[in-house]
Amino acid sequence: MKYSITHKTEYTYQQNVSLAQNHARLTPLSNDKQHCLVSKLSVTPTINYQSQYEDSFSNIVNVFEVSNLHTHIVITAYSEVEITPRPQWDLFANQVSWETVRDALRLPNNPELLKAAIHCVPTAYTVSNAKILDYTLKTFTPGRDISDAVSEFMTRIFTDFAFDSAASNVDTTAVEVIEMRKGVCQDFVHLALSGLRAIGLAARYVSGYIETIPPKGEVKLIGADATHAWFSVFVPDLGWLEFDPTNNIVPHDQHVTLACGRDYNDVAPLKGVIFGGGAHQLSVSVDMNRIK
Amino acid sequence: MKPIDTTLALNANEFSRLAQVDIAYRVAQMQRLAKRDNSVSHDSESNWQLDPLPYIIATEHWQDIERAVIQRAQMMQHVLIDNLSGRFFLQQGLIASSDVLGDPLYLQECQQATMQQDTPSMIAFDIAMYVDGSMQVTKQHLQAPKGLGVLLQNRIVTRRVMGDLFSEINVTRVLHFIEKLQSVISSVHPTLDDPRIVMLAQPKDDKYYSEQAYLAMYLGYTLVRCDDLTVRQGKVWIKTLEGLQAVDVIIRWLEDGQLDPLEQTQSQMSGVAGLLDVIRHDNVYIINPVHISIVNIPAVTKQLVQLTEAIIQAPSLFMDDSLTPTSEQLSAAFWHNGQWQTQPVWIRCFALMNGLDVSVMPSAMIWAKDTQNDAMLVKDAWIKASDVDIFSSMPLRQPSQVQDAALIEGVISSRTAENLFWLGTYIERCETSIRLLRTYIDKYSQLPMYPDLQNQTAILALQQAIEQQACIYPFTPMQHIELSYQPLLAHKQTVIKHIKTKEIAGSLYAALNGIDFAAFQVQELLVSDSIRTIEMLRHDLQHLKDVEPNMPNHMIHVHLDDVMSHILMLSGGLHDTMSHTNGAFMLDFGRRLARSEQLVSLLDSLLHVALDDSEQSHLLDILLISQVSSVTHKRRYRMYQSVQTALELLLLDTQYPRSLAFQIDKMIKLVQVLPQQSNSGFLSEFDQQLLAMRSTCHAQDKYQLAGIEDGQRKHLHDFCLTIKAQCTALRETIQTQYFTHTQLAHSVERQSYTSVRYNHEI
Repeated sequence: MKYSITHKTEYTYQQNVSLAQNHARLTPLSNDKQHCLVSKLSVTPTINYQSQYEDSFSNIVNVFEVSNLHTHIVITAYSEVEITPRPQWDLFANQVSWETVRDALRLPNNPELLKAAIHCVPTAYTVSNAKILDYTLKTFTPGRDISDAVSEFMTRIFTDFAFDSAASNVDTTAVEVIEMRKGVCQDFVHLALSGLRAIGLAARYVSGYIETIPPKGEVKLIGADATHAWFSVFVPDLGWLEFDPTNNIVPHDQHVTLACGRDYNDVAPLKGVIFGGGAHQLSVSVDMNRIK
Repeated sequence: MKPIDTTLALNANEFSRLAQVDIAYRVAQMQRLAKRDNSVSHDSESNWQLDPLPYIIATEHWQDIERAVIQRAQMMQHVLIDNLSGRFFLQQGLIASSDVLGDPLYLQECQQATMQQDTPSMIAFDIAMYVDGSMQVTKQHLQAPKGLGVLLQNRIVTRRVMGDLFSEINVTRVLHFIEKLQSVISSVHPTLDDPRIVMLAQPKDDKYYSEQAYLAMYLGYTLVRCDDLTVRQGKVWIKTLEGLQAVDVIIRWLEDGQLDPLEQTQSQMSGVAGLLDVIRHDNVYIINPVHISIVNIPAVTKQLVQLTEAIIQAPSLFMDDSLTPTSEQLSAAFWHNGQWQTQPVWIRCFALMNGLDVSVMPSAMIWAKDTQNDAMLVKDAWIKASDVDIFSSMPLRQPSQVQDAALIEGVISSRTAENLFWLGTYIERCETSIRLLRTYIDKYSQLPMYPDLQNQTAILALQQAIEQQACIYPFTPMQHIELSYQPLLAHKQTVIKHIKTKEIAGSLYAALNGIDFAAFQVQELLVSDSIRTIEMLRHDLQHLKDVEPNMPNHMIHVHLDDVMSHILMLSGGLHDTMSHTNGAFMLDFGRRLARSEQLVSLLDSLLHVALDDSEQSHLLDILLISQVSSVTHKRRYRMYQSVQTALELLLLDTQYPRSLAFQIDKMIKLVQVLPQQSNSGFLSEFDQQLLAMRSTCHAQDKYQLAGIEDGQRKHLHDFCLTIKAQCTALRETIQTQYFTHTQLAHSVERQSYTSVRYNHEI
């Protein structure tokens, strides 16, 4: 399956900005599940400097600078991605208990495990508490197969938590989500990460896009797609297995990964520092279409 | 005899030789010298208190300490190398991975920026020594060890006061070590022979700023703060009067987590946006290298002794941190309130780590906690040399010599220039405020003697101008309202309000505060006399709080006189001692510009509305006195004094030092010293603006200026508005071209943002 994605971010400032320095994580990853065929970043006004680096989670980061006076900036990322669906469930032929994985991560004796172990550590968004731990342990009973348990954990979050975009904000933490029992995809992912890390598993935040299909007979609106978030869990020898608690599905061929990290902070599509500007208005639109 | 016993015997011997009188004399001498050199006592916040008696360490004892420090530093280097090359210590379980990865000092974003593993580091250890000879490291200072500057300052002071003893003991010199430090820092850059090196201090209000300023002067590096640096085009630049200049090496005083607000969301208030990416691309070298702090993670520190035995395969020379010492901690006597007090001490040793090559500074800081005063009592550690030191005849270098060396480079940072500019501005504001307020006090105090209506009207006009801040900063446009009788107390309250109200931007308090702040920012350029004068002004600032309505007018006058004499002392001192090479012209420029703005604002607010002759004469008198021009005016014009003659003297006379024309000519001359930022053959924007200002001034006719239409001097008003606008434009240009290096004058406001949160359900 191939997709073209246009991700447009616009900032309008109350006052002039004299210097804007940005880091964009808007280039889809290339890995065993997807291949980024095209990736272009265009910015208005003109970029004065641009470079790129790979961060410690292997995400592609575009660094750019705008040093002309501006009150309006438009950042458009266009990409084409080919998804290679991986039959994730077939990988679970061998039963692996979650405690086995946890114990391996406690003593990470090879580079792969060590790399995964950083995702066992709670972050500001994913600090846990007794309530989250209790909630998680209801699923993670002793000796249970990890894939089976995580899958049920995802379903429970989908069932127990209501989708409500007004309930939370960009700073909402897992501890707040467990109390509110509602939120958006970012909140559900932070909650899942918090629970999984609390029991010693390595889980990471995945940011990206999801294809939306309009109801039959209706035309898809331009810009109606959006960025999305889900999580993945590390299982030795199998790698990172993905789960989407917002939709209760295992990502197959409709999820395109942009970046992975410990939490939202590691994967924010656009981070910046501006000089001047005053108050600002933000608008984001995403278009994701199949390429035939 | 154990090596530590030799040390104990040496100190006991020296201690017994000292008489109380001798100690008291030394204390007094040290305090005097410390003040003169802006030494430790100047920086009260960091609260290091130098003890008059040094601590002598025997040669063989020092060799033990030195060996242990080298071993510990080498072990740390092994950990750092391992962190970059596979992290086998974690994989093999020698260090618990979960404790490392979960520690706040472990910064994932810095892992990518730590590739400069060969970069040298200046580190320090606090060591507790025990009388059985064992030692324990109680703290590792790895990112920006404090105290090196204090140690050097102390060495200069103690050596001056105890020169005889210093020679007699044959103390090991530190010069060798300092030279090696400088040489290693200079060779950090792989390709440049003469890299531009800056020392990056913490954001403002840093209590260690004085120490950093001293160290920068001593080592000959430019001291910068985060706002002095900017990342553009993938490189780090320093904002200087010459424009942006590339920086090759940064000696940082910032912690790992405060380096880059773009990548480190926790460092909102500090750092240089984009710095980590520049480091990642090897476009700047950082000393100490980024992420050295991982060795300070408790899970790592507690394993260092075991790792030493496993990796270096030698017994650790430091005792395990977790073990309880079996003997007493080493103590030393400190002079406190006229008597000796014995306190347990720690020794802070400094070492230069360049790969596995470690050099230990042959001196140290002996310190103890003064819990009562929340201070650190410090002693200079004198290491007894094993034989005659070939450098014994060489004096310890004075920082002032190196300061000049740093300036030969021609780097005047934009921040320094901007602070000098503001120092000049505030000095001028302060001076003019006092002159105005004193004149006002004199005049209203005499009202009972000269109660005529004309005199009252003139005083009320002045009060109105002061109250509306039309003749003092921010020079608000004057709203002329009908003048009405005011009791004397109301006048006094106006004066008091404009002396001590913090919230009034043009108050004397605000101006003095501005002087204090700007002077602190450029303290490394000031001589000790100027610093003492600033201290006096600081006291004045405190005394202004005592000015109350029940204070007699003459006492208020005395307070103002005190401030004025200190301002003149400072102004004269700066003029005499600061050279143009270190930016004195910027100070003068700030003064001239502030004086121009002040003058036209005063004229506009007092003369715009025409009064009858008698009232006008009183007001003119006030105006001329406040401009210290009354005598000159009388002498020059005798019988023919009028508004025209006053305007001629104060605005148009190019020979008169207080006139506007004189200020403009001075500014034109000063601008010649500024680096030109236009192509040769064309006037810069700056030149153009000054030329326009000069033309505006000289195109005026005094009669026309003084002319009255409908009860107002419209020409004068328009002229003043034009000059004020030109002054504002000049400020804007100097800000953008020389200070901020952006297209905005006020771009200091920095904000971070991330894009919208995820929000999707299908």
